[in-house]
Amino acid sequence: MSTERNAAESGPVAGVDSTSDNGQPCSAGPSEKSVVMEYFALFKEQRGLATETVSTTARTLKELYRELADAYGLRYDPESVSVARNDEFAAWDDRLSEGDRVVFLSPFGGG
Amino acid sequence: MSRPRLGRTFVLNPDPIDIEMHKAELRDTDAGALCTFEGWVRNSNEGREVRSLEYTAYPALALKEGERIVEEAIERFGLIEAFCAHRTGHLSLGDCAVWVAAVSGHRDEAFRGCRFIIDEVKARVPIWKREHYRDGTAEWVLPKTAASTI
Repeated sequence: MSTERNAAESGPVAGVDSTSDNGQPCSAGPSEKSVVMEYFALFKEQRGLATETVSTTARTLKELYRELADAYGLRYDPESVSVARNDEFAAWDDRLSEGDRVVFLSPFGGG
Repeated sequence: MSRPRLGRTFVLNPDPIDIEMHKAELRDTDAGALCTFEGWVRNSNEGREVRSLEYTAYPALALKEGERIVEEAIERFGLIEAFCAHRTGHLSLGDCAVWVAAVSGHRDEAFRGCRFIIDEVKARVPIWKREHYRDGTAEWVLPKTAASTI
């Protein structure tokens, strides 16, 4: 997964503090892990598929979001995006583990 | 609790919601009140003419969170029983998109429990709505403007 960023396009990301974006490449962190992404609704449309396995060096869910949002142009009002891991709501700072299933959640519209 | 709970308290329905069947299942001689809410597909939203709606859900989490909401309502308002069904797939104008029922000894708890469930479902359950407009376009509806049924 590329970690190159395009500042002109990316903008702020939900719950992602800018301090971790200090120019240090992700490859300097923990080793690569494999996670399963599932996409629904807007993100499914933007990504163009429902599920995929991703290799990433992201340590947390927010690092993964930033990585994929940049790579795939997953754009939304970043303040509104939440996240689920292994079919439960999760916090952006939660650690990412090998084999996790992750879903980025755009704002809900039920009812 | 006057009787064992039967089945799920929150369901996702790809087909029309069988309201009469659910009402029959909720019948209880301890109950003095049943309050229900139906969300219908309306023909306009934010000034745009709506032709139809499409709901999609993240089923594994939607079912869990939906059940948690109904259980919370039962606990919080002392309900005898409660239930919610939400449609998925493509719906036409006038279709029932969501059905909520709260059963209690007296009406106040039933009204409050019913209101709680629909409000929480809209806020917390991972279900998304895409509006299809008369002009042929379609958009995912944001919560701020998601007023197509309520």
